[in-house]
Amino acid sequence: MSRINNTNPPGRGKELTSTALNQVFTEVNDAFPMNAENVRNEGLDQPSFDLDANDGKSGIILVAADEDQNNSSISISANTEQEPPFISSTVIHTWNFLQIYATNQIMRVYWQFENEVSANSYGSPIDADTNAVTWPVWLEWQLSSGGAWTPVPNQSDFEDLIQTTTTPGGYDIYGASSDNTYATTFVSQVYIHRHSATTDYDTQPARTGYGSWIYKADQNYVIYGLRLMCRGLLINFFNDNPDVGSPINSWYLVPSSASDAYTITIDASHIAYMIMEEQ
Amino acid sequence: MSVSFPKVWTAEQLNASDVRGNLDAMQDKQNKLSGSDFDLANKWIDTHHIMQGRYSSTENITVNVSGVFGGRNNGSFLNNLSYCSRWISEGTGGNSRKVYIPYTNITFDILRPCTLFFQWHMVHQSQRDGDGTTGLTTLHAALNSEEITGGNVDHLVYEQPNGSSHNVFVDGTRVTNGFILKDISSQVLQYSIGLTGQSTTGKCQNVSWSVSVECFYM
Repeated sequence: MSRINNTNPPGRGKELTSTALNQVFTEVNDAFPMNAENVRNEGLDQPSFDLDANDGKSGIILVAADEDQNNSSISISANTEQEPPFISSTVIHTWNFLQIYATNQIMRVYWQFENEVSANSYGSPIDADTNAVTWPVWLEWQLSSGGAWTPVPNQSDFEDLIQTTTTPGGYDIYGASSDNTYATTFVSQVYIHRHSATTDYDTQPARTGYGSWIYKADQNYVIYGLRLMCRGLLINFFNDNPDVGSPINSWYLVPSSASDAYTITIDASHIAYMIMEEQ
Repeated sequence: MSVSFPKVWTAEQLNASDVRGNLDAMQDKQNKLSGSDFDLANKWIDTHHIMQGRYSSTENITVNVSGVFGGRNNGSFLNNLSYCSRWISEGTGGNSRKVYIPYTNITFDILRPCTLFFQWHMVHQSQRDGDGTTGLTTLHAALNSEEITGGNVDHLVYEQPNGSSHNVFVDGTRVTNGFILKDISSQVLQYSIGLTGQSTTGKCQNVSWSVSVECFYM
């Protein structure tokens, strides 16, 4: 401990001895090395942590944070194929940067985008009983400079073979199980409801989509970029006979008629991320 | 490391210069400490040494050494509603202006340079008002001023289509959901963050919502 304790100082009116005098000085050295006593317990407040002059990214809790804006507009048409090759997914926002993302750190990614769906008409796969027809917007990352983009962990590009047909002449089912949709925003194509004995198909007006993905790094990563992808249309179903794993709620990629012209237009989009230390 | 005292007494006469010399040695040491004078092998502090956070019941936030964190929400029809309509956001000549949406703002002191993350969700009902148009309410995050907006994506709440025969629940109910990330490099007392609206609708009632703020100092 770093406090100086004089255990037997020479007393007033007493005989001064060399032993007592030496002890006073020796006790000074007993206080080394300096430690917590010198800053006093309960003495740490905001000034003690004045670590960064510009922001809150000191690395103690928040390691890094940044954002990116894209003001371009892009229209995406629905897939029309029953089997692979399907119409490719579309990049709606690419953001390149360099960021170390170390084991056990927590990454939080958020995105938001203006969007509007449209259609010439409503036919297959949309009918009076099929409400959950959506466009997925999902997150991918790039883990080497100029390298391949892949969906982030726990995310699919909605082109996994999730059920092999047992019916001769039938079609295999491609899509994603719901446990691979952690970084997905689903945008509905249409709301279907009954009104005065007729079926109404409500196409929503322009609106804003929002999504997030939170992940604790299982290894060291170097992130070279994030991007948002989109494709469609998807329908949800319960996959009672998946190729991999247990039965699970899933989404599958469906074909639609080109004449129906299901389209989603993505306007301005915005991505932000934060990397935090686990506390 | 310790102080090197120049004088260690045995049995000789005590004089002032020797005492002075030892005291000077202490002062010299105090003026020039080196790494070995510090206990580097052990942690000096633990979390219990850090000033305890304070909870503000008014704003529902906690104020900590590490930052300010908190939020507020509004739950149902039976709680407070708030409104955004052309009646309150249109100025003279039909020019609409941004107005704060009540109960969505948080005011707190930013004591140090920080990184701020704010996000919200809100459920809106915008019933047709029979004026012959389908109006629009636009939400923005407000950063310490209703005129300075943050976030670069418009959050759109379209009015129920003009002429619709449905209940507002069917085609006039919308959801917005957004966020802001921002660095602030200096102290700002009474900083306000929240939502503003700008509307050309006759009625856009905000039914339920939540807002949260995370202000990181470190």
